[in-house]
Amino acid sequence: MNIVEATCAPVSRVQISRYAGAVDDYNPVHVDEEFAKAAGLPSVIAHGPLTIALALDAVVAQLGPDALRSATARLSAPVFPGDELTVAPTEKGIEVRKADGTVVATVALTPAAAADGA
Amino acid sequence: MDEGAKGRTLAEADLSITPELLARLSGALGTGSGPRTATLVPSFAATVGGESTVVDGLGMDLSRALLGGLGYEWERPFVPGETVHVRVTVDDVFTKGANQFGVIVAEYSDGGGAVVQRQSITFVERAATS
Repeated sequence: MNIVEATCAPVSRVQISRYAGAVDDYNPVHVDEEFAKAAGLPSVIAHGPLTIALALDAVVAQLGPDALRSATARLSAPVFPGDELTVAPTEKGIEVRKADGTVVATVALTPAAAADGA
Repeated sequence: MDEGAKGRTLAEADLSITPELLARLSGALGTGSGPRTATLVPSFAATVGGESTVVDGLGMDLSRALLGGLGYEWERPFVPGETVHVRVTVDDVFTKGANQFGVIVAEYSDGGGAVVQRQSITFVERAATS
């Protein structure tokens, strides 16, 4: 798949709250600062599906929503408010990295049949 | 986690994919391509069965739980305004090393029974420390 590297706007608390409202997922680790800190985190974290949605959005922006048949994502590090995510192509799909190089997710992508030759 | 939960249906319902719902998701993404991406990545497992559907269904301790992975299989994007049937099930619960893993699957099908999308979510529950 012909995907070029793209950088997303920094993740914000407002964005995390909006996502919580959009999918009805108010797990306190995403919206309750004190709960997150009690769990050993420095702050609330972005929903994993939000991180993956942002990564897939970078793909959709380039190839459109019909280009993909499947995506299999592995999350490897939490994303905090203020993190700027870069989506970079890999052999099997994409990788999502923070500005310091930390890989937060790897996503294997399967193109839709019509986009197979892309 | 409750290893006996494997195969259990946690929730099942009809869900209207309203333009407003997709707009909220698109708004959270905050990008120009957000409206198109929103048709691929809605996650409504909590919407269907209530906020605690997955947590209670897996018998998961949230304070020790992490989201380990996500999977999407698309037959097509959601169409704004359509009604889909959602079935949320526990696909697997297993132990690997000191951690437990729970896999939840949400399958969305249209009025004719054709699958629109299949989502899987893998939770990891770290071992309790005494």
